[in-house]
This record gives sequence, C-alpha cells and structure tokens, in this order.
Amino acid sequence: MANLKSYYTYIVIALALLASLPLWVGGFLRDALILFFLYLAAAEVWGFMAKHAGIVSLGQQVFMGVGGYATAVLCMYYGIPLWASVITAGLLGSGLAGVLSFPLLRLRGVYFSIGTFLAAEVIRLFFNSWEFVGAGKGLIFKGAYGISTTLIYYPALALGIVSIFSVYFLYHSKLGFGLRSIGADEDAASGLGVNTFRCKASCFILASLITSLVGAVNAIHHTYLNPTSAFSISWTVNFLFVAVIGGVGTIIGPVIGSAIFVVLGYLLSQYLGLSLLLEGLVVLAILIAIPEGVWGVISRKLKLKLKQPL
Amino acid sequence: MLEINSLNVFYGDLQVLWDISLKVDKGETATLIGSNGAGKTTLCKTIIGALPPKTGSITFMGKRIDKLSIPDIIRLGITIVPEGRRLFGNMSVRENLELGAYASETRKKIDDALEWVFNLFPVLRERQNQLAGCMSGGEQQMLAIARGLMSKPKFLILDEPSLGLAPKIVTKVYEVIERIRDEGVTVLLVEQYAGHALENSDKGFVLENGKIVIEGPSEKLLKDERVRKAYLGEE
Amino acid sequence: MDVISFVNLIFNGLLLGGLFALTAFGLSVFAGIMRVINIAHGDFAILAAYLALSTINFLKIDPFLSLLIVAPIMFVIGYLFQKFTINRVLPMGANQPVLVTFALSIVIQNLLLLLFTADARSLITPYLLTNVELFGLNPSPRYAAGFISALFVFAVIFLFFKKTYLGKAMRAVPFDSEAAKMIGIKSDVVYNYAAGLAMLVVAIAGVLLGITFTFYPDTGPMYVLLSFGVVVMGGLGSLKGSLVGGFIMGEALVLGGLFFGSRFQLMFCYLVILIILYIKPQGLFGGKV
Repeated sequence: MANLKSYYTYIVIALALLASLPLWVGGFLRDALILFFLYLAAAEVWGFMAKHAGIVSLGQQVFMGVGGYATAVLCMYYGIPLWASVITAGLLGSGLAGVLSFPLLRLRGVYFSIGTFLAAEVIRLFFNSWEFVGAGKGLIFKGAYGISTTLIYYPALALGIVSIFSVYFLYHSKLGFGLRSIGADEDAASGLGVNTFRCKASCFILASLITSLVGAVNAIHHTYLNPTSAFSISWTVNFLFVAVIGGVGTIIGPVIGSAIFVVLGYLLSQYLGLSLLLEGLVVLAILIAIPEGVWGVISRKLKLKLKQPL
Repeated sequence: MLEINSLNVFYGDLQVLWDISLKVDKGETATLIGSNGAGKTTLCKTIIGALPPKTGSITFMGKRIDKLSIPDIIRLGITIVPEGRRLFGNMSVRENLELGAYASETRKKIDDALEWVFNLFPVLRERQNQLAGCMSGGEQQMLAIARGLMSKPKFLILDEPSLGLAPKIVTKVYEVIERIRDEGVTVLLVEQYAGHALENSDKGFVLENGKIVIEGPSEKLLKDERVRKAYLGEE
Repeated sequence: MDVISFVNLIFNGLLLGGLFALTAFGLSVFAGIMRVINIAHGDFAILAAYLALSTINFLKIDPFLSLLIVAPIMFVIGYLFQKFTINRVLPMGANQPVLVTFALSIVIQNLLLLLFTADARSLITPYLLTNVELFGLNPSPRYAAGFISALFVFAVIFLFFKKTYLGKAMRAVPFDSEAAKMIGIKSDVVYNYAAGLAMLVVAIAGVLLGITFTFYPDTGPMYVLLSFGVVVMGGLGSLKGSLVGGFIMGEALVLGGLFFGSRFQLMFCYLVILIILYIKPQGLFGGKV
C-alpha cells in the first residue's frame, strides 16, 4: 500500500474528474465512454489471467452472455429490481465459472483455451434452443428501457475502476504471487506447495465476476439480447485486441488499448465487416513484431521503470 | 587439422570461454579434460557451429569454420557425439543411424555407410529394428558413436563417452574408439574423469573456468600432480 | 427404428468418421511436430474449400481435380505461415502461438466473409449424390469418398514418415530438437515443411468437407473443435489414434442426431469432448498433453 499512499491525492482527483464527466460531456461521447470502461474492465482481467496466471481464456463470451441474459430474465420474469439483477447476474456468472473450473482448469495451456471455447459454444447452442429465453429470436429487455446513458455510465466507470484495482491488488496479494508462480512454471509451483487448482479457480472466478457484470451493464445499454451476438466470439476477440494492443498483463496497457479500440470502432462504423478483420490483423502484427504492446514500447522508450504490474 | 586461436565465447553477456587456443593434428587423438561447468560442452558446441564465438577463429583443414552453420561443418568432416548420448528413443536403431547421415553426402550411399558401421558394431546389426530407447546404457553409447560415424567424419568429437557407464562397459567403449582411430579418424575426447581418455590419447588440455590451464602430451599429464588430484580421482 | 435403419446409421457414422479423421490428420501432424495446436485449423480447411470453389468456377473442373491446384497453394500457405508467423513466436512462450493462431482464425473467417459473402456454399459432385445400395444398406457416397480418402491419406503420410529422410527428421525434431540440431537437422526448416505438409492434408480434407456439407465463412471453428476432439481421443501426434478418434466422433454425431435430434447433435459432440477431456485429458489412448 505504501506506493499507493503517495498517489492518493492524484487518484482522488482523477476519480472525481471521471465521475463528473457526464455533466459536461455530450450524449455521443457518453456512449463512447461507456464502451471504453466496459471493454477496459473486461480486458484488464483477461490480460491478467493470460499474462500472469498463464491461462488464456477464449470463452469470455460465455460470461458476457450469461451476465446479460441473467439480468434480463431476473428483472423481467422475476421482477427483481434492475440493479439488484445486475449484481445477481454477476454472481451467477461467477458461479458458472466455478462450475466450469472443475472440468477446465485441470487442462493445461492450449487445451484449457480450447476447452473454454468448447464450453462457450455448448452454452451458446443451448441458449439458441432454449424457448424460455426466446431461443434464436432473442429477448427484448424492456426492463432496461428509459435508463439514461448517464445512469449506465456510473456502473461502467465503477467496473473499470474496480477491475483495475482488482488486478493491482491481486497481483500484490498472496494469491497473485501463487498465480504468477503458476504462470512461470506450473509444475514447479505445485511442487512448492501452491494449490494450483484453487489459485487458478479463484482468478478465473474473479475475472468472470467482472466480465459477467460487464455483460449485464452491456445488456442494459443495448436492451436487446440474442444468442448469436450475446455469445459471439467477437467479445473475446475485442478483449484480446484491447489487452494485446495495449500491452497484455499491464494495467495501463488496456487503458490505451480500449481508447484505441473505441476510436477505431467509430472510425470504422461504416465498414462493419472490416472491423474484426482489422482487429485480427493488427493483433497478429503486434504479437509477432511488438509483443509488449503500445504501452510496452512507450515505457521502454521513455525508460520508465514503473512498479509492476503497471 | 583443427586449430583454435584466441577463442572467446559468450552466452549473451556472460563470458564462458577465455582466449582458448589449441591444435589437434591429423590422425592424433586429443583429450579435453574439465569438471562440470568448466566449459567443455560449450567448446564442443562452438566447434560444431551451434554457438558463434565473439572473437577468435576456428580453422579446420585450412578453412575458417567459426561462422559456418552446423550442416556445413558436418559436411566438411566434423561430427559430434553429444553428451548424454541424445538418441531418438522413439525411433529404431537403424533410423537413428540413418539420421546420422542426414546432413552429409553419405546420405546418397546410405547402405555402404550402414555396412561399415554394422561391421564395427555387430550388436547394432542384431538390434537394428529395435527402438533406441529400449537398449542398455552401453548399447546406447555404441549407437550414439555409430550415429556419429554415419557421416564418415574426418574429425570426431566425443563428449563424455563414459558418462554413467559401468567400468566394464567403458573399457568396451574405448576399445571401439581405438578401432575408430585405426580407421583414420582424428578424435577429440572430452571427459570429466580423465583416466581412460589420457591413456588412449596423444595429448591433452585441461579446461578450468573457461580457460586452458594445462596442456601437453598425455603421458606427461598422467604424471602431473594437479591433474592426478583433480581429474584422476586421487587424493 | 428398425434394425436395418440402425445398422445403416452406424455404418454411415463410421464412414463419416473417416472424414473426421481426415480432417483431424492435419491438426495432428501440425501439433505432433510443432507442438502447437493450430486454432485456425478449421478455418484453413474452409479456406481450401473456398479456393476450390473459385478454381471450379474459373476452370469449370471437377472438385476433386481442383485439388491439383488447391493442394499446392495450401502447401505454400502452410510453409509461409510457419516460417513467418509460428517460427517467430515459438520462442515467446507457450501461450503466444495460441493467441497467434486464434487471431489468424478471426482473420481468415472475416477475409472469407469479405471476399465471398455469407451465402451458403457447396462443392457440387452430382455423381456422388446418387443412391447406392450395398448388401441392403445405403452408404452415403460422399461419406464413403471421405472415408476412402482418409485411408489413402493415412497410408501416404505413414509411408512418408517411415521411409523418407524428411519424414524421419520430422519425427526426430519433436523428440529432441537439440540432438537433431547437433546432427545437422535445422528444426526451423523441418517445421516449415511440416506445416506445408499439414496444410496439404488440410486442403484435401477441406475439399471433401466442402463436397459433403455446406459451408460458410464461419464454419471453421466447428471443424477445429471436432478435430481437436478427435485428436484428444486418439492421443496427440498419433495418426492411428486419429483414425480411431474419428470413427468415435462420427458415431457420436450420428447417434447424437438419433437420440437428441439434429438441433442438438453438435452440442452433444462438444459435450462428449468435454467429458473425455475431464476424464482423461491425455486422450483415450495416451499421448502427450
């Protein structure tokens, strides 16, 4: 905590500034900011898992979809107040992650990654045939009508901040230490007494909690859900893009990455088909040529020696 | 035949070999002695082309080889039998031998090379279709040496041929090495325990912490106090 | 359902399994030699199908003949892909190739979408659409074509690995690349040819898949998941294992269709794969995880 105390004033000022944004920023920019913080939140935890714990999830769309659908269903079918539904949806999502941990986290490396993709596909196919939630036709989230973007902005901002702090504290915690040892050499870590399953599961569940909450807020923002888009692989692609382009595993990286992503998204909104193609190509180029990402290059050029995991 | 001059080798920024100079003449057998971490295998890797030296030169039969690739160096006539044998345990004896000729000209006349090697090592002819991973330590060492011979080398480096083998087997291995020398191959033996190696060679070099500290005819080294204490297991 | 229909179903499941095995061979070769699971594997197969489609439309030839053009193109694509992409990221850690092949998968899908639109496509072979009767059964000619191709490709690859120098090098390098290096085998070069070979096999599988099923730009992921399942069941790097795994997968699909309906057969297959991963991650017949 010592290193944070000195920056307390700056952090408080920054937070106050961010919190006041909706007051003096137009509707169009508010949408952009919501996207920015939502993608930031999801990408931060994805990047942490990938870089430090060594687990690359290709199935984050599961939590986006479950978070969204759970919120809509709880709110509309069971009459639970909107924001309580959001929290519950988050918990349900992390519960699902807990269940999935058992088959998936015993798998190593790419086997785990494909396992997450498999699980996501199974759940997508299931929702596609589940009449209760409208199957392929989807669900119109009437309960979210009339929620202003200002009201959505604050949860998004909160998620972004919570995600960043989670990553920071997780990194410096005992759990984080265990995770990093697993990411470095899982066999050695387990030989030293680290409970690899419990560590990985905790991380996975935490990441899924945040991602599910992102999915919930996203559903309120868009007011319409269908399995194809809610469980689309493009969620993972986008999170991956934000994390990799910024600098996977860093905290500031995804901030830059999300900004780039949102800006590019608006620039390319005319050419819908191109955006995923471009994302893929850019990610490829970065992975091969500049694996440390934009932030990595900047901090190297400026010879910044920041404390990890910034 | 092989001449090394003022060789300096680094792993990244870490220097591991300092100013190495040595010569091995055609037909000779030389021994390189050193304990673990002295740099023996590093030197072998540098000769064979796996590690480029920072400064210095390696000349083989008059030609500079320190900037050449491994396949090129093998084609010129230098082959290494790696430390720990490093056979392909998932493949048969015969396949391991065939791969020994992969980088050299003998690939085209593989049957002749196989005949020659089977004559030198009859046990391998018997076991040619057996999986390399299923043989005893001594047999594996024979196979490793045989694989090295498949490229018909003029200069053969044997990195710790007696490692992990029972004394009786070591004697057999050295009998084989003698026969290889009779065939006209120049041999560089690299060993930690120097007894057999020095008894079977013409000259020796002692490598300590990346530097050559003693060199001379093997007979002299066998009698040298320092060598006896450190490398011949005497008190 | 009567006995004859059931036996017919099982028989066709076996034939279909051959096609799945063929599709998985490419993944198995790639993973067995480079130790990388190519997440874009299915997308490369679909790419081959689209290449075949273009060739057929341009030259008006039979789909099988189009392989004469598509296969070499895919070989070169594989070679270059390995050389400029995978070889570069292999030293960067075990997860880098995962990210790279995933990104490539997205690129291929969206490129195909851009070039060919999202319309359903198929490679037409009228002579394989006829009804065949054999000992009272009705084997699907297209499934049979896939099955026969699988056996043929299996035999050729098997002989290649057993008899040729390059094939033996491809078996030696993953076992001990340091040792291979010491005896003059350049693993990078071996990998390039291995990737080319894998893509060649993928091309054959892709064309046969295009003949047997309709395809879209985003059909790729389904095939990589199924191929992954086949490879996991059979054990990584084992061709024989992939054959057996393929047969099991084929049966799983047809039986899944029988018991749960066509809407759920794919989901059923995925669940089977997940269950096998849970019980025996190293595959039903062993192999390296």
